[in-house]
Amino acid sequence: MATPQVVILTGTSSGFGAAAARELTVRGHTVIATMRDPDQDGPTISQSMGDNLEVHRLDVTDRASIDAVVATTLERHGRVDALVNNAAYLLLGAVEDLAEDELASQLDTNVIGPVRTAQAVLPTMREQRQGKIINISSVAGRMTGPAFGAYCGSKWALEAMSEALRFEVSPWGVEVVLVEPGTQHTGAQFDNMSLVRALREGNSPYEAPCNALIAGHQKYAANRPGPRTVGSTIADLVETVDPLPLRLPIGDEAALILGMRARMSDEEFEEALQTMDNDGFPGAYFKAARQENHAS
Amino acid sequence: MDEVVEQLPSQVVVITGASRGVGFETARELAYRGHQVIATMRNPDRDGPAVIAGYENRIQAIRCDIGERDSTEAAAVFALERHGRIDALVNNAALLLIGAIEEVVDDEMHDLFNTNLTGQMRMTQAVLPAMREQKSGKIITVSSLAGKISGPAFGPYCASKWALEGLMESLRYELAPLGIEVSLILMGAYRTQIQFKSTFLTKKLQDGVSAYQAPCEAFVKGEQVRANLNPGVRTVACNIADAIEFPDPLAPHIPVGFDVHRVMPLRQRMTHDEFEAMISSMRNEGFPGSWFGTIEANPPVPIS
Repeated sequence: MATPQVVILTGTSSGFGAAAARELTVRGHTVIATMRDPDQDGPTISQSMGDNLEVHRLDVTDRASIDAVVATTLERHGRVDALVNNAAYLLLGAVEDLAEDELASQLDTNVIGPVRTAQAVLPTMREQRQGKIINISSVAGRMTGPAFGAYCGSKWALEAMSEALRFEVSPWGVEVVLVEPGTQHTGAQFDNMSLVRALREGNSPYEAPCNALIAGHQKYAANRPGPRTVGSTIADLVETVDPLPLRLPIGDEAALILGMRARMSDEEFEEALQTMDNDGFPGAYFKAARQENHAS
Repeated sequence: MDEVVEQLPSQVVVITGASRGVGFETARELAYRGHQVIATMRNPDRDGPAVIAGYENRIQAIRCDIGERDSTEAAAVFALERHGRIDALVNNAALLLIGAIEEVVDDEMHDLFNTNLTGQMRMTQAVLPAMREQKSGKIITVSSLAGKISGPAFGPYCASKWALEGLMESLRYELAPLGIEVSLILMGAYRTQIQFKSTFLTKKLQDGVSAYQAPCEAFVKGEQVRANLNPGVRTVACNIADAIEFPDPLAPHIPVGFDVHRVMPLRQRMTHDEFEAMISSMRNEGFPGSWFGTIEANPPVPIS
């Protein structure tokens, strides 16, 4: 039985964050589950959980909220064993359509957010000579495709940051891990997904392929597993005593896509993506784009 | 005086960061080959004459700061008014930030991404309307091993470069149906000015209060020593010029430099554990050896 760990998680109102928070609570750890709106979203995750689950407000773009949570955690529990950087969102749209403020927001949450939270816990973890920073990446952290430039760009940046951080903090016994799930049935593809303004306002030359992609991808996502397996995997990582690898792909889709990306040349992978005959990402995009070209 | 016999149709090329390094050499190589170059930089009065010298009828040096949207749009307007078209954009301007992830502050990250990611996007968006109308064009972005690997003291910088790689790879798919090509120059270690004039340290490093002060300083010094020993960027410039002149579709990445050909297969074929062990064991001068050598010589004090 693993020693109870003190774990701070971000973005626990739904999806992987909620699943991991609940799993860790059931396993008896001290769980600091954070979210932007605990009044609204807190009750959903704390329902039928023991009092080893605490819900706090934390917005990864707001340093004061981060520092407050870390301070409270240290006051009450004296240590921070693991940080799970989960809060993120998917911005969909073509690079040509991407507004600067939209890109900046995507980076602010998905990249700088995890940097801020890591910075808040690292002094403690280095003093403890122990700690884990678990960053939720995705297959999108090592591959990309049309309409995913901002999101995948942000996840690639998260991966680069994590790889550097891992080297930087290992002399103090602090570990950094990247979790890479594929598409799961969570809000990431639904109410947590944002479209670029150009798409929402009907000004995009990429409207047809993007709309086809969204519809196809959502249909695909609705049939994918829910977040419990990822939640359980994250709990395993918190409990593992052996040294952890940098990257942990989770699930069938991750194994397939990341395997292809690793083994194929750029050209081979590009060809595979452009000719993939599926109805979600990326097939729906390319089929719609080809239809449009033949029509014009 | 010009000695070039024009053999290929003259291309109109916009280059960012053309005051020195890869931008400078590429501008002059393209001019030598008979193309028209809009060499953009932040201070054309100071830096323009050196770029133009001898190619006054082929190179125009104008102001562009890719950190500002108006500036990028004005550069595109200039090119179109002068030449009527834009055949290629070379996204080259970038800056290098050194420092530990634990210590980089919000402003530093915002500035870094504003130049290295958003800046490239801005300039690209500024030229795309013309390329769309032409149904042709090439967006060539200067990337490097820092866009494929990462390491200590390089976290924020590599994050900006990996993000740029992801953005450009997506753009490549998006623009392919329009006849506009996107490619990344994957350059290895060369002697450019980035390790000198375009390198910024995090504030904590500058103030001498970083928890990572010694390994970071050794790293910066090592990189500068290495940079002075490496060949200059003429070959990179030639590869970019070749890509612009190339009549057939461009590959997603154009590798330049023997170290790229050595590191990329290792990166692709090793497990990460193997790659990490290899990187950690290096004791070369510069990236990454200076860092690990310093930590080895001065490990953090063990807890009692």
